[in-house]
Amino acid sequence: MRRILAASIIGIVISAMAAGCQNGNVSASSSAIADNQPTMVSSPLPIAPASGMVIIHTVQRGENLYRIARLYGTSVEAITKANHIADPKMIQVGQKLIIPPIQATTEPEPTDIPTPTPTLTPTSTSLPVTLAPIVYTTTNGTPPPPPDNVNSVKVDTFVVMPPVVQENMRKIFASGQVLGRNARAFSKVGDSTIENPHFLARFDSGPYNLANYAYLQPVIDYFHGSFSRQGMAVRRGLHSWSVLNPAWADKDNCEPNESPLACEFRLNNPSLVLIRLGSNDVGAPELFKQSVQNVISYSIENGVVPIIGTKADRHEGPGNINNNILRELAASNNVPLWDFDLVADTLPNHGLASDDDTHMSLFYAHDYSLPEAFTKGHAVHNLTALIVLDRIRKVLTPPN
Amino acid sequence: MKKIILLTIVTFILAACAGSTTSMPSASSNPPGNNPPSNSAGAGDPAKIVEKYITAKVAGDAKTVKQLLCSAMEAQADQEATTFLGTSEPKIESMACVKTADDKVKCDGKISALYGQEKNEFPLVTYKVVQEDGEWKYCGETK
Repeated sequence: MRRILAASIIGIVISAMAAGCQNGNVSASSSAIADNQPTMVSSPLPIAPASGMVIIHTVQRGENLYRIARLYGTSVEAITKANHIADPKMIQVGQKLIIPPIQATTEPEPTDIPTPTPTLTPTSTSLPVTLAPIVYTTTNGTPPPPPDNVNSVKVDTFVVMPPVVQENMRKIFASGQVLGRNARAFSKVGDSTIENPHFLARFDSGPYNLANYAYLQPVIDYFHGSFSRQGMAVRRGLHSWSVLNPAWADKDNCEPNESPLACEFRLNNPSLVLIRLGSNDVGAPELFKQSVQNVISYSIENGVVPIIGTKADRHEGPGNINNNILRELAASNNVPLWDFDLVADTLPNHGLASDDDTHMSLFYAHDYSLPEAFTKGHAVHNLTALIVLDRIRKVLTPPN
Repeated sequence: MKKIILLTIVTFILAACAGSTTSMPSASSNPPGNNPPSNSAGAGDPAKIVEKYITAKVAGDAKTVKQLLCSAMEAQADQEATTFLGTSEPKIESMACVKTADDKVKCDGKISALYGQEKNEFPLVTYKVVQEDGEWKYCGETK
């Protein structure tokens, strides 16, 4: 585990350095982290404003006009002129800058490959104006339809949410709202396979590139803050039968006799909980089944919609016993199933690291424009988790 | 000769009395699982009862756990006994418990357990004790 941790840290440092060096870009989201601002999407490519489109950029700590110009693929002169700046060195953190539209002559030639196009964010809020998600467009300028699959596995196959489940979700969610649950917060329950920083955390901090899955940006915005929260119910070596056992709770944050899950619900007040258990539960299928059932029941009783996730590994032995139990429990409780195992089937080594039969292969870049993303366990795990959250959000909080 | 016999008898009686108050082995000096289940919950020092309970819990000794658990926690007996199921080498390190109030026992030390190469540590805290039928019982964590 120490080697994995060390490798993770080195990898993060290398990724960060690479992101900073690539194309000379300054990640907008790194500034966001420093200023504790809302999430933004960064791209390894300069963000080219579409013809006629004006972007308002809020200056972040560490930025200068040169970096901002590079970020948008424009020039210092164009920005100074558009903003009537006499001295390019005199810009302030928080200052709003007009990023002028690029002249038609500088626009890239349309290609069949979707190219990123920024959109404007509202300027009427008190929040700083940030870059909106990159919207990929086709040659005729219209966004392509959202992909209906990951690695050719249809979304409807790995997000199992028939009408009866949707109806039950709404009931649980409604009871949670009565209890004052935060509709925009989710929690996690699981073991080292979903520890930070690999599971979802990057979607709070950036940088990442959703590429053709840019339609998922609203769900990232909606649940902002939950992605990087490891919470009180994620712990190395956690078993299903430990989730409701106070002995396994964090004694620094939890009350006496409070279980990890009760503690997490109290502190985070979520409306959803992602349950990813089963890797450690070896040789006790009946106990596993009863314990996961207890976790589901506890969640429902507390107005939190449980989302049952399957796992990539076969640590419990042949037969995929635990995943089958998870599928059965999701169906019998009418709660949503995130059947990641089906997508893991498409990955080399089933998405597991080559030297590990439990933990998934890493992908630091979080750049879904790279084919490599669709060969790595954590990358696909994260993407499918986002898709599940998006689908659930649309059921629970449909647009008016 | 009579004196010797009398002295021997007195010695045996004293030894037996001493044994009844020190029969609870120190958890830190005995590996979990090596303690035979006790036949009674035992009265006496509540700190010793808590030590005995923690030792049984770490060992997965369901019988002793049930014997020492208060009635209010009966429903959690199985969960308590399976606390470290699936981990390897669960052990108690430097356990020292003292009674700090009428119904509280504070324990220092920790439990450690391995899962694969991943080490988990569980600090010992303060526990509630209650007397039921004249015997001290463990009754969960408290502040």
